[in-house]
Amino acid sequence: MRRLAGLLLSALLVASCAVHGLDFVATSAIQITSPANRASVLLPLQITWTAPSIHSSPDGPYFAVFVDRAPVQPGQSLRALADSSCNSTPGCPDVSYLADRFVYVTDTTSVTVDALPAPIAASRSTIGDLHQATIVLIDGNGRRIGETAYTVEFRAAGDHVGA
Amino acid sequence: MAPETRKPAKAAASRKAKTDPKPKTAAPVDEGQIIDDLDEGRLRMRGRARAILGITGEETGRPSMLAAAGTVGWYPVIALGLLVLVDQFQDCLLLILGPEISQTLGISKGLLAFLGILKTFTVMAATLPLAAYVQRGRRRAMTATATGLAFALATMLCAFVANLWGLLGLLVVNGASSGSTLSVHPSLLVDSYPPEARVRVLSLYRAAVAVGTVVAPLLIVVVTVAADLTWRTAFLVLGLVSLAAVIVSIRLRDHGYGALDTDEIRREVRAQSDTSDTSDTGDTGDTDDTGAVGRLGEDGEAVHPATELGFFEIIQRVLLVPTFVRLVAAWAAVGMLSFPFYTYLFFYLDNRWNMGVEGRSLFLALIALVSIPCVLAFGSLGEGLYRRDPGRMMRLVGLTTGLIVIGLVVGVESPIFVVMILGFAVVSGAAAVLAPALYMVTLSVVPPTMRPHAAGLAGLIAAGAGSIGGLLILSSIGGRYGTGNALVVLALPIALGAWTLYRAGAQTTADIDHVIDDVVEHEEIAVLRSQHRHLPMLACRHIEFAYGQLQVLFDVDFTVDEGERVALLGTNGAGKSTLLRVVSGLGLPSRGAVHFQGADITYLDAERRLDLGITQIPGGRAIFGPLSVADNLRVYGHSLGRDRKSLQRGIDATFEAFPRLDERRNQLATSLSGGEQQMLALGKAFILQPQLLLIDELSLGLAPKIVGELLAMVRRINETGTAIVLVEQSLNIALSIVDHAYFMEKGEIRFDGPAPDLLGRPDLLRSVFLEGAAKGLG
Repeated sequence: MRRLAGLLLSALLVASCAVHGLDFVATSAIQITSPANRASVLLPLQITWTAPSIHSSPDGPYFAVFVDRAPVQPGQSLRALADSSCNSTPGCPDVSYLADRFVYVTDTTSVTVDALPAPIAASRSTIGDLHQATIVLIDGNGRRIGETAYTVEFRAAGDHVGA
Repeated sequence: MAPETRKPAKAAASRKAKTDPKPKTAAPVDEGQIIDDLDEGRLRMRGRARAILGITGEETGRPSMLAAAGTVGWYPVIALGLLVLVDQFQDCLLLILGPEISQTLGISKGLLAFLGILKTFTVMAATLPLAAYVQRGRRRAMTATATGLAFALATMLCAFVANLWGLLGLLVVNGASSGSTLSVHPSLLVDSYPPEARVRVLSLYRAAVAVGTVVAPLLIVVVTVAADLTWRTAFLVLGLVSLAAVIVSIRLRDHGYGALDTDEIRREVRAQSDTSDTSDTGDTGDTDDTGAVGRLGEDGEAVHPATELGFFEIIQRVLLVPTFVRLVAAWAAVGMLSFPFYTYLFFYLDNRWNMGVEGRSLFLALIALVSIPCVLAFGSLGEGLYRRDPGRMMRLVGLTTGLIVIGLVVGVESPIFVVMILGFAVVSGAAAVLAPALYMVTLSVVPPTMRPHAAGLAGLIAAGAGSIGGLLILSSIGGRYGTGNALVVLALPIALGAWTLYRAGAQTTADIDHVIDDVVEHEEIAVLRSQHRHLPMLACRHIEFAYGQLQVLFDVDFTVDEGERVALLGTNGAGKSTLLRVVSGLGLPSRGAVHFQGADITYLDAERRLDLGITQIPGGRAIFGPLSVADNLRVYGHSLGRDRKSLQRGIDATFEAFPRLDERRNQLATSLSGGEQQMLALGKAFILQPQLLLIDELSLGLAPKIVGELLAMVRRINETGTAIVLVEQSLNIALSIVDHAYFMEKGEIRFDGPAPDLLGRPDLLRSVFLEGAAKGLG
């Protein structure tokens, strides 16, 4: 029994570890310019960044901004965010579908956020609820490129929070 | 009025008066003298043994740490300290780099928090199995190093995980290896140093935890911010540092359980015995003519393989220690002040003071830094207090824990940043002294071989009731009333822990004395054996027993010799049946010891006592009603296993002894008359052929003729060499068969002597039902 458990654990670890495609050194291809980290903001909120080394286009690579949610895994498609009815609809998920789920896709270097998700209990605060935006790069097939992600945290007053 | 014979010395006198005390024993017997010797030895040794255990009654005269460490030196505490230091790394990595990990692997923060809880569960699950693993043999040093290696490799491998499942698997490995720091490290540390250095050593060990909490965030900041590397590199670097710590610890050695405390007491007992009895043969006591004491155990204690306690028996034993039970709330407080407290403190610093990851890490390092001088100062102060009286140390720690409550409230409610830092620094400093004090007491109130189990159970309580319970409290309060208020609510269970700590001190010395008494008595018995002195087959010493809060046995001494017939008499509710349960293992005493053929069986399971030759026939028709007579007898023989021939011989012997049962062998047991049912119950003795048969209420509700038949059969069983203990309410029945009688009243032995002498005790007989019988017989 113990041997079997050991074998299963070893198999799991071997299958779940990798040596290629892992980032051990931080890169700064994207610099978020606004809001400043942990700044207090009002809605609508514009998130802007610079990415001089990235030549973005609608065919990829382009940017995806995830607000208060984990980004898709490296190599995973944005389609993973769609439910079954969307996946069976041609053209879905599109930009508006994703924006409804607080994922903003753009080939420019800014997005405007009109509403924020209700924060989890531990992030509520009298000085403004804490939110987080994470920017990742997406390729022409809608898949996340690499492991690198860029994050900014900001506080928003409760009155401005969307559903 | 005749004096009561409650104490062993007086019992001895009455025993000596027996005309034919040992029909089946060739060697001369002086049980009373032996019991006197054991009691005297125990009391004589207690003061000296306390000093050996580091309790001298004086705070002064304490040797320096270096002198106390002696030849062992600093190596064990440094090696184990390094292992526990690096054990802090992964928690810090997850706490600080959690957001980055979540973004890289695409897993939510909630899922990451769940993984943290899962790791806590793994720690809980690993503590007791690790204790069971190190139970036999000197495996603790090897286990500590091996689990350290597993931890280091798991931390390094975390740098290469590509998805959730990899992280999950590595956290499970990490949690399992961390379990060793709870159950294996403390007991190894305690057994590596003499008692007069242990509070200081445990404090140093706890200081290493604080150093780990300071070093880890700093290393993480250096790697991720200063060197601009990712969380993966941080795991790799900290994993390599952990590996270095494991290499340093590779020379750790396990010197055995109690090598520097209970073994010293044993040597002292032997030395005293040598000076007081020049006739001592010098035998080491590891063998004897009966073979009852088979070998020396790992802790030097004489143990018979058949009576060596198993894992669950040890757990039961630990849970019966009053101090341990009283410390449950304090251990839970330790758990609450670890993972849940720091998690919600991070939320609070974020939400109230808008502190980012770097600020929070610095804050964590700062308050951990404050705890280092606190715990080191406690090491010296606590050692002195423990030396004088362990209870005083506990009261100090209880008061210190009260400071945590104040610090929590001040830290959360203060609008001034500096005051907030001071409040949480007080929490960190006061919390740091909890673990060394609790470990010192927890590991001192149990025998050395049970230290990993006690530490493991404590760790289980800390991780389960503390960490998981604390998280539940914090999440349920925090969601509704905010993280700050949740932290304030955490003060309530911590205050309860402080109160129980303060109160637990009153019991601690008594529990340490219990350990001392056990060691002294075991060694005295070994000495007596080496002198070839006869020991009673069964000796119950100072037995106390309680059903919950209701104590029913008080300091009961009860002995039975080989082949003897003994009656246990008394009123309803006197504790007779309870005493039988203690002998047969159906009930475990809260104090005292049960020795069978010289071996301690106090906490042995009932089924193992059956194998040793102790069989009980409970009162109220001990049969299986829905089974046939023959099947009942087969069930009695269950413990014989595959020995079908013995079983068949026993069944044949029963049917030969009770022809009426033979006639009804296929009838259901419920269809038998009361007398026949009692015959069937007695059949157990023919099948199991015990050395000691305990019969509860043989004659109750039966006709005199039937009782006569049963008594004849009891005599026949006795003639085969089986000693009989007969619990009876009828004096004339008892006196017709036994040589020796005990009379119990309100849980105490009121008479212990030759059975006919009981008739000369109207003070006992008057108040109870026996008076009429006495007149009839007189």
